[in-house]
Amino acid sequence: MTWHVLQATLALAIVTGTPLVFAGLGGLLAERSGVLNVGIEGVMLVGAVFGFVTAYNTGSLVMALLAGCVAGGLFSLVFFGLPVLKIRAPQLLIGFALWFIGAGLSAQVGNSHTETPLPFRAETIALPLLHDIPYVGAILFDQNWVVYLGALLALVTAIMLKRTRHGLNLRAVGEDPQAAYAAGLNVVRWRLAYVAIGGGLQGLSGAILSVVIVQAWRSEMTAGTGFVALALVTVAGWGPLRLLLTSYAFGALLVLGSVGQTQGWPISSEFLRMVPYVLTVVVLVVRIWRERRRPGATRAPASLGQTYAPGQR
Amino acid sequence: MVDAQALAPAWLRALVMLLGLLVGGVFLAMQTGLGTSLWTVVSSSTFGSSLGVSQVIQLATPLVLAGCAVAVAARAGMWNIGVEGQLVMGAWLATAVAYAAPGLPGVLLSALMIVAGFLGGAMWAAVPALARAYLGVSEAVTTLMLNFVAALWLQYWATGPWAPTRTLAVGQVSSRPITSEVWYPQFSLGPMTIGLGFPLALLIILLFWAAFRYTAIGPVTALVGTDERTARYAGTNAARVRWAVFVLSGGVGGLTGVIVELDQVHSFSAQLSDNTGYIAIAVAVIAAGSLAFSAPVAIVLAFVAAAGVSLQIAGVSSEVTLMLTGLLLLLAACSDSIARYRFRRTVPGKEEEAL
Repeated sequence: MTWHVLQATLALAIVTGTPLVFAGLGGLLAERSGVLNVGIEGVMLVGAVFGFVTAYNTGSLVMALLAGCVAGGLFSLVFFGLPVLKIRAPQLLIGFALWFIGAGLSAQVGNSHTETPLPFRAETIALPLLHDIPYVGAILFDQNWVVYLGALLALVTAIMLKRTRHGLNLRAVGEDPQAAYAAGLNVVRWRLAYVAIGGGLQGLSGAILSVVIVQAWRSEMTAGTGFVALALVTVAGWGPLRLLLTSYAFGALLVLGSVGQTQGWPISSEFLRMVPYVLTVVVLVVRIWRERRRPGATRAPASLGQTYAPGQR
Repeated sequence: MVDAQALAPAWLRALVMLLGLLVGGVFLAMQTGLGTSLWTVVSSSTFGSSLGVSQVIQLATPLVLAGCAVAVAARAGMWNIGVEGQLVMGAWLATAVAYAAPGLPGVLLSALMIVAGFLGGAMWAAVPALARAYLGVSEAVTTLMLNFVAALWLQYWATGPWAPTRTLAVGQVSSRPITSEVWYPQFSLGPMTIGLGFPLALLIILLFWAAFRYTAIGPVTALVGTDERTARYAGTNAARVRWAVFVLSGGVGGLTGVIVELDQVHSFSAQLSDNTGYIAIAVAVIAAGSLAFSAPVAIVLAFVAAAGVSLQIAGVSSEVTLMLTGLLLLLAACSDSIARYRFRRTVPGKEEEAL
């Protein structure tokens, strides 16, 4: 493989990883607030179809991404946030319902838009100076602006969680909702807000997939990306920057799989694509194994997935 | 958690199901512009014609079995999200047996395949089961992840080592067919055609119902599922019960795959499952973890799926049935929580567990 091919491959890996960055960050924020949503796939599909339809009708990339974001946020809030936090239904079951409803709704909305071309193409922007760095410049800094947005968002999220009062409150809500409640935080409202924000990012991720990357709409076009994002949040140990890196690494894995297929490598792309799922299981088991000797090693938000009732101890 | 006290009463559940179907029906009637003639289209392709009834029964067969698998694990307070993967691995091992022993008489070979199917599913569930029972790793997340591994495993075998010699239609993933000697016979009941799979599925669920009703398995499992501390105090090895029940549940998941293969698909193919493992969660939740109710619920959801197939002609996308199933799952889970909201007694110091 020549240098140019490798360069193009790695640049493509970053593009491929970008929807995972957004969807994963959405999941990460909701999980940090203590809410586990397994239905990311459905939210992404809703964002993808509303983003695509908007792009088709307005011809504007920004409008399309905004539409995907708003659609994803509202959809998560109504079909996941309210049942889980107001009615206190089990997060796991509502997550699956969310996936099903999202898959069906998006397919129905996008039915008349299947395989229609978009009126524009998303162009890449070469960042001045940075682009001229030898070797890595052409890989990292000649991308569509949404790629930069994803990396920036991961950085901002990391700083927000670690260094701000808001982030501390968010972590408190996820780690110990009773204590957060006692400290005067409205746990239900915090979680609702972060379900909506997380859904917004996942909707945005879907819109990026349909409008920027694939530039077409097909039903169930996310093909499991939402579940990969769910897996990567765990693999990354709930850290935004680690999530960014694992997303790009998985993007590279996917691209390598398709390159390997054309080059006739002995390893099938199927086995490469298994990696994040297998890794999640291994990581979960190993972390809990270590937790026995060293408490706190799991890193998972302590109240993750549990139903919360205000005032209950 | 399936907790006897925390479930909505059966009449409320049935009412909620009807409401969900009604809302879905009105939505579809407006979407397609069919209005009230929607019902004629749907009924003629489901319960209104003998062909439709055969179709519903064919679609219900995997759902009955997979619903049984989910319900068995739910009895011990665990969520088996992995039926989707277990059915693939069951069918994989069974197909391997079928390819390895082509000379055997059909009946013997199909019996061996059933055993292999059970083992394949059980082995696939073993790792999450052990991790849950002895380490407390959430079985929902691990089984969910392993589903995607199994789906890729299927793709590898069906397009690689077991690929058919003839070329398939674009997007179709299927191995070469298994010997027709093991295919299940199709019986004609008047104008209807029913494969052996459906009665077999009913028989299996009946066996499990009887085992849980009349042997010690039932109460022991229920005790571990509802109150593990009491179970341990009573001398039950709770961890062992947990993994045994979960492996059993995985075995039923494997049976789902091999029975669908023998009855309907006849190869190791992506067609073995149309989200069966996930719809099965809806079956078990709507049936409130009851084995007796899960067969009728599976038939209702199969009706939804069959209705969706017939409505594709009217310009409805095939995923709409998923939306309706999701809506029913949402409503059922919410109605349970609303019931709990009214009657629950809070116990100080005891945390609720959602996963």
